Amino acid sequence: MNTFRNLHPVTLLCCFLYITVFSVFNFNPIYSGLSLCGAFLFALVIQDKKAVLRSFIGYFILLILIAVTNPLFSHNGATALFFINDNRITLEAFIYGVTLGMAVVSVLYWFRCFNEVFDSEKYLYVFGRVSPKLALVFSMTLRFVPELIGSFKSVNASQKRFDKSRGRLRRYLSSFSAVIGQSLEDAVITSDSMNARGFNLKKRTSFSRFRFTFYDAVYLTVFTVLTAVAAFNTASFEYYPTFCPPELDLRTVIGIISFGALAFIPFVYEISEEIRWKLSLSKI
Amino acid sequence: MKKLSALILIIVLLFAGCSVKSAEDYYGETQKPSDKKVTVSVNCRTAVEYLKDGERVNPDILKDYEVGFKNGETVFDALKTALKENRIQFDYNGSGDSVYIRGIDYLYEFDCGDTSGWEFSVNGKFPSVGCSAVKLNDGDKISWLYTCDLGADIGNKYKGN
Amino acid sequence: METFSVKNLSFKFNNAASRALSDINLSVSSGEFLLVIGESGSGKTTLLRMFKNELRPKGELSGEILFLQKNIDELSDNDSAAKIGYIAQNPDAQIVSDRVYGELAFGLESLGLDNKVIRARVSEFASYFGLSGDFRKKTASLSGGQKQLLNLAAVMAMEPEVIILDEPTSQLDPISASEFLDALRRVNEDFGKTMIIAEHHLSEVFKLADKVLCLENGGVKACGKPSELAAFLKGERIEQTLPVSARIFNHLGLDGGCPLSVKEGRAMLGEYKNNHQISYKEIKTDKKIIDCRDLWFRYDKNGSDILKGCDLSVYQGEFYALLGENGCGKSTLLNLINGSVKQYRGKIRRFSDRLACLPQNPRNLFVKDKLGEDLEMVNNSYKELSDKFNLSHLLDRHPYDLSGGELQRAALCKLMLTKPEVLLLDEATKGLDSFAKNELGAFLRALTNEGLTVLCVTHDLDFAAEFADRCGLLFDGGITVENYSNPFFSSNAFYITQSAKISRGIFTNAVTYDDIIKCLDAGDGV
Repeated sequence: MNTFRNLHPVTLLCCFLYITVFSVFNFNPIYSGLSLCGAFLFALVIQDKKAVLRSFIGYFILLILIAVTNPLFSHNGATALFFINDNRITLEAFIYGVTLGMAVVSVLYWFRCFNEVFDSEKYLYVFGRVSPKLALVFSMTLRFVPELIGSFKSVNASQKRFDKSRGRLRRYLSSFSAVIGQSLEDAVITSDSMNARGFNLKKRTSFSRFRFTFYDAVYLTVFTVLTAVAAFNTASFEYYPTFCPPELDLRTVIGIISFGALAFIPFVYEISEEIRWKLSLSKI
Repeated sequence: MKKLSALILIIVLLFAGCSVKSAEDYYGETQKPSDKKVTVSVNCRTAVEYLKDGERVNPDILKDYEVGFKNGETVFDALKTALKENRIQFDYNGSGDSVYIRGIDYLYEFDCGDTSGWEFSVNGKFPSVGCSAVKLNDGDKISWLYTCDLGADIGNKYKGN
Repeated sequence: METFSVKNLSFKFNNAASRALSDINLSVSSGEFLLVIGESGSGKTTLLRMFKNELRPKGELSGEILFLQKNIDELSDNDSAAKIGYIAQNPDAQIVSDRVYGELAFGLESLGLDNKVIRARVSEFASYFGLSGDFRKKTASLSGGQKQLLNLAAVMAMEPEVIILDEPTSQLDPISASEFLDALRRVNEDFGKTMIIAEHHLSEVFKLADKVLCLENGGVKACGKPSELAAFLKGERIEQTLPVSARIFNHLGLDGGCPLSVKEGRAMLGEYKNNHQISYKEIKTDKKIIDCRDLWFRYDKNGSDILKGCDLSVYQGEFYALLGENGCGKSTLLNLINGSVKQYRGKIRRFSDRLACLPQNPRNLFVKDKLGEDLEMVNNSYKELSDKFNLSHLLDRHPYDLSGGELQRAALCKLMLTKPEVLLLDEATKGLDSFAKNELGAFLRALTNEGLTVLCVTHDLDFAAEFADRCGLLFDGGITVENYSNPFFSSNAFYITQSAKISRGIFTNAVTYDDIIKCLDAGDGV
């Protein structure tokens, strides 16, 4: 099934950048809310539903915490709910906190989705554009680190038998130094293998299996246009001293709709592909 | 569970020294009579000029308001009492003798550019310490003035350190 | 046309007293499959590295090496990288990238080819070597055999003239090893690529070679067609490593073409059929030391079962070899017995808690800079045991500097210092040459005679046939066949040793070379 993650890395990167940057710089409960909903729904379809729902409790607590903490530090706002010493706790500051909480949580959710969608291969592609050597270092690290952890575990397990008299920390340390020694030994072989295949040659390129297709171009254009339209029609929102939502004139509405569309595209894309797949199955 | 109870304990300790009052109770408190008095005024002329689109029209947030004080009270205490009795919002940072006034009547530092904020003078002189470090004397005239230019526009030119 | 022509090549490492290679003359023609044999330290690796500018060790070189009739030193860096492929022993450490396609593309990226060309080449060679299904996978998820195939494919993608392989199958299990050799044969036949391969397990590769070069102490001992060379090596120590058919041929002192394959071997042996019975030692079954009943195990909650009701009994003082293909759960069963993982159903009874486990990678046992310190860590009075394992002269060496056989002996010694009653071994013969393997087997046999119980997981059928008392085959999560080694190997159909394949139906229960010789010798008397 063709899913959102199969878009070209550049298209994906732009999508996530546009949404997160926009929702951070245009601080507004409408944008934050849309962004949060879009991210949450997207996470729900691309990740394990139970895990996402479980995580939501944590994120919700975070949101409430931010919403409650903000009025403790900011005493601006005309509607005083109560006073702590001489500090007024205001409704406006609470609403500001809620917006801030939504913005933070939505960005966290987007990062969560981004991590799911943007795997090491795509990072590799992006690094490869910058420098082929950088991409190689990245790829080698990806291979090396899990291997190092794995061999640490097995060395440590083998050492358990010998250290009844020694402490656990000393075992960890000696196992760790042994693992480093082993990987240095292996590094000699790896560097031989690299040199044998022309690592020292001058003009290195970076191969990736990604192709920038027509659809990638279409989606990238759509993302960019929506972001530009939203950016030129931002709805301003005043919190202090009393909050006044923006007037719902045409420009504001266009701005909100554009950003809403941007935030919901990943979710809608995923759902519509799933429906298309099911339909195509029923035709067979 | 341990973490949660620790968190609750911390929160309780934080609020232990605080008095929580409703807005009505807070503003309903009256000062005890005292024979020593100072005058407090709060003025934001510079902000009215700076914010041209008429966001702020009245430069006088508080005009020569008289408050009583007890021995040892500071400029900060006088401002607090004056604003409280007039139900004017304010916001501050810090405690002890290093209180800093961030905003009065929703007008905050930096609202009128990078060099804007609240300063105060006592009998026309601008002390170089915080408002909670200046003790009150009978008959002092305290002016809180908003500046858009580090004090230069209210007669307290910044002379560097 | 000659791919390589070597004239009077001598080489001395910097700071070395004697020459590592001396007066080597050799010619490798295009499309030729050259096998280089020789004992450890005979200069195989050094010679192979002479052919690759990037890997040539530092030292004094005399004589000349011509590649396609041009001096190899004049070869451009680009050509040296692309035209001469090199594959080493260790399948893991040679891999550079985290993804299969990234690894295939590595050499082509070095050559600075553009994405389109790389895409075409990479996809061609991935499908040629049957790696298409793994194209996007992580390299870490491949088996050892697949990794080595990937290394071969990555070299082939650069379209070399010649591929140089330094003991490429020594770290592989026998099935993966013969698959790899089969791939080499196909590459050699389909593309006419020249192959230069050094090996020490010769039973499979020997018959593939067009020419065999035997090195001894850095010089050429012999060079010729495989069957001629096999006959020539009669009585030499290295003869032990030759295919069983050739060894029998030499033993019988026959004339004519030396047989190299099982088929030819059977044809030769058919005339000597007799009824001699190979006897084998029966073990005492009165004292169980490990008893596993109905073991079920899986790694993930949602994964599939690795063990499905597995039963296993090991008796005190026996040498039990646990056989089975890759991923059948042999090592898992060992870990269960060792207690490092736990079954979700079933019971393991250990009648001794003195278990010691020799890991697949014996380096894991060593954490100090000197072998002596490592042994001292376990027990101060290690001298006696280190003498027994013939390690006295190695105590000042760094454990990683030991050869495969020495390291295995040192590992065994370190474990024995903890005075175990049961020794668990995981692929103990991996990477060892025939000599080291026999030595290890002999040590283990001696230890079982002293009362130690050995449970050894292995792929190495010859090793099991030679040294184990009993063998068990783990398949589909349980032990499906279990018997004394001789009947085990002579009754199986596929899972048997080379010797058993050759002697099947001719001699009874003859599963090793020594068994066949015994039968032959017994036959002479009749």
